[in-house]
Amino acid sequence: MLEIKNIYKDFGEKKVLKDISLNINEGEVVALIGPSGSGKSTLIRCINKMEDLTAGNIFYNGENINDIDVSKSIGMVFQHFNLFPHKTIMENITLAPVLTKKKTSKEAEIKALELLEMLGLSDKKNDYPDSLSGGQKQRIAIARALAMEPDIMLFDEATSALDPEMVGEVLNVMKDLAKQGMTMVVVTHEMGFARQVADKVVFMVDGYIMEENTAEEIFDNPKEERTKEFLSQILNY
Amino acid sequence: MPKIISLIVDYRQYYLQGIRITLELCFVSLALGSMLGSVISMMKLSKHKIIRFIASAYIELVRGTPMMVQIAIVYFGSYALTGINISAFLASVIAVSLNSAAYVAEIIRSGIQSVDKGQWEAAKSLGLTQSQTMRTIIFPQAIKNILPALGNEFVTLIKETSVASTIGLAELMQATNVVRSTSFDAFNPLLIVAFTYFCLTFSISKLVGLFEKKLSYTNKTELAN
Ligand SMILES: Nc1ncnc2c1ncn2[C@@H]1O[C@H](COP(=O)(O)OP(=O)(O)OP(=O)(O)O)[C@@H](O)[C@H]1O
Ligand SMILES: [Mg+2]
Repeated sequence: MLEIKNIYKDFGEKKVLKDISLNINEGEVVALIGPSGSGKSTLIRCINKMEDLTAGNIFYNGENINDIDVSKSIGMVFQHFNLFPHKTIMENITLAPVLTKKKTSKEAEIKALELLEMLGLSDKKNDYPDSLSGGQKQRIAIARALAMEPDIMLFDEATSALDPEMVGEVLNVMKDLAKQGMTMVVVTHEMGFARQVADKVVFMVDGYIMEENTAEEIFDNPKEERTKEFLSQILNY
Repeated sequence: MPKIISLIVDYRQYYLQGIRITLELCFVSLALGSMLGSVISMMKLSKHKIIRFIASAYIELVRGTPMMVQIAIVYFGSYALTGINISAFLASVIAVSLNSAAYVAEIIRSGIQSVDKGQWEAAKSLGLTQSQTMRTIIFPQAIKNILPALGNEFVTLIKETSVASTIGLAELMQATNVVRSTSFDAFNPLLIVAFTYFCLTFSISKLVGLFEKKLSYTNKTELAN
């Protein structure tokens, strides 16, 4: 579904992604893990064209992403939610489908209500983001992305900015999505989640993919010294 | 004290007209300056280096020269260059508009840049175009910073347009000069005008402050539907 082929990304002099290749199949959940600054965010931002590639190509269903509007197929959830504070929850969710002419406002509203129902947040539809807890905000951000009916969802540390007691509610939504067969690329520090939900775990260091394997193999039987080190640090912490 | 009161009473027509002209000049100039300032702020945020340079050069030039000089250049320059004599009011409006455009451009630019860049990213990831993002996401948030700053710019203009008296515009300061020479009292009319300017700027500043509070309040609770 998604083919990342030998991509490089420089920020000025700084080489942030170095020859990254990765295939993501339909329905697969890929967890990206690695130390801070290893390029995880940059990689997923390249996937939805938030960043331009320095070299290499990314193909979505065989088409170069440079030639298509990826926002129609790829949704993204950010660490800091980035909800629109001046819009109600309902408006946050319906804005993009309507403006991009994907849906009429009636259709968009029906879809939004469905999503809110699924998340148990129907009663918040006329509230503004500021009145929500962090966990609720992030679930709304997920609903907002889903309203565009993407085929792939990208999550960049979706739970890192949350109070610990709210991490679970967001991870549960992500788990449900995975169960429903959504293709997902998840940058996360939640190793429990990666282990439980990810089909494939990709360990990045310093702009390279150091190791890529099934969750079990990575966690129980890491091949690389660097992976072992990272996991022992993060799991003992 | 009775001297001052009798001056105010005797010359109230001059002062009232001065206040009216000062406010008119500021209001019209700020409105025109805001339109031009929006364009310049967009130029300043442009991707193209040359357009950004032109905007920056304009802003620096205006901010680096006194308004008194700008007004004189427009007033005397329009005759020198075109042979057309324009009124002191028109010259003042042109000069003050061009002047405030530079300040308004910076107000708008910083208002827009104060909006979290995550808002741009979220909008982009949802497929909104740049102009849709600006219109529906960025500007409605930026306006909460822009409006109070525009109010403060209005206050600044009220004080600064006193230099329009140098080309004979009958605004508040010029009214004072007239009162000084006709009443043969060089000092007391200055106290009156100082107090008048203060009342104008202080009350407008207070209004802006109240408005700002209301904006940040609606920002928090969003009473509007
Ligand atoms: N816009 C940018 N300009 C310059 N350098 C950048 C930019 N974005 C990221 N970088 C650099 O690229 C490197 C990788 O950043 P990235 O955010 O992808 O790392 P990460 O793996 O997501 O880290 P973290 O776990 O801290 O989020 C870092 O050294 C960062 O400083
Ligand atoms: Mg990151």
